[in-house]
Amino acid sequence: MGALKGSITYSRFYVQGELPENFANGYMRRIRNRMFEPLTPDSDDPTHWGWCSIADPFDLELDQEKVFFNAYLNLGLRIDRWSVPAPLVKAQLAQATKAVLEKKGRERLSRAEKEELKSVVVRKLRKQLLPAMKVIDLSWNTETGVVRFWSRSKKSVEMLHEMFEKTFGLKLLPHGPYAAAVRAGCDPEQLERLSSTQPAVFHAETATAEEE
Amino acid sequence: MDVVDRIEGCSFAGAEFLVWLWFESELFEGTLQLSDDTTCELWFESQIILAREKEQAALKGTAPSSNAEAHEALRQGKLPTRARMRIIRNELEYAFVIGAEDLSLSTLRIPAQLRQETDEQFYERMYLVEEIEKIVDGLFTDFLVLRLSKSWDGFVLPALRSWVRGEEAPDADDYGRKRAAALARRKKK
Repeated sequence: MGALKGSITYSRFYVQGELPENFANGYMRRIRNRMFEPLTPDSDDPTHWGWCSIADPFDLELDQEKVFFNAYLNLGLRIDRWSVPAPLVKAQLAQATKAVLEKKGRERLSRAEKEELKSVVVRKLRKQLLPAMKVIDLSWNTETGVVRFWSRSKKSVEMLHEMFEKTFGLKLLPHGPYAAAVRAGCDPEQLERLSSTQPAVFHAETATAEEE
Repeated sequence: MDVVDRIEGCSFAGAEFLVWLWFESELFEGTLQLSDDTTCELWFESQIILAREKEQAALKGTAPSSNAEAHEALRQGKLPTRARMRIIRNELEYAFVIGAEDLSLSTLRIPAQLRQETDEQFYERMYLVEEIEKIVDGLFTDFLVLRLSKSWDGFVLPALRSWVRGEEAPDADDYGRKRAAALARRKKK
């Protein structure tokens, strides 16, 4: 949420590299290859992430009209995760272990048997739950090369870097003093000078000591 | 030096930028000159975090300009890491929290939107977000021009030190003239 409505807290990035000619068609194909795939109780990976419609996270049938708003390429990054409460797994696992031991007339299970049983219990519990869903809006102004991503979480931003590069074959430079200096037209000599400049000291005590 | 090193190396500039903005906002009583020869109103609001290494001062309740604690934190060598500010330009009012390290804008409040249709709302929203980014980026560019020129040691840093240390306030007209001249030299280049 965020690009269309709601709170405006986001991370800003600059796309590095040139867009191919007639990028819309090519990008639609690439986006479809990285669409979100719903989790199932039997999924080996407890987390799935991929693109969805910015207007509706359940809409996984994207076309240009849903993705391109004039110069803006808009997507949702949907992240679903199985989140089965640990105490529930523990309690169910204890019950299942007891039942298996009684059935087999044994006193303990091997490590492999415990792992297998835990996997069965988790999958069974997943069938009674829904995955936790998170959707983060992404809006890329393809004219200015600015990408806005409605999350500040480090983990989500890492996912974005990975997904963006895999989908579009382009890297993202995060906004900040360095990127702003590049965008402001600083030449390489100025950038070098800025990044090797010592921070100024404004307050009295240390300033005197350092100046000496 | 690779990009990661450069990003790291430049990160100090965000805190200095916030100090400079705070100083200019006080010196010019909330009216700042923009590089396109227009002005905006800019002032810091009642939320600022200042830090020096592991020491941190999170101040709420009173705007930093009239908050003795905030000025004292600066005098102790703490620098802003996050600050809430308000900017008005062309009767459009924005409020947001700016982070020093990455110049990020969060909990941004934009002027009330008028459009009803989803698409139109999106374009209006993006227009307003891009407008405030332009203002903040423009101010950062002006700061950079001063920071990388002789003007920094010539008159900007002495004025900032004087203000931080609670000494005699620089003359706003004199500072303003020198500032305009330094930025005009950059424009000519």
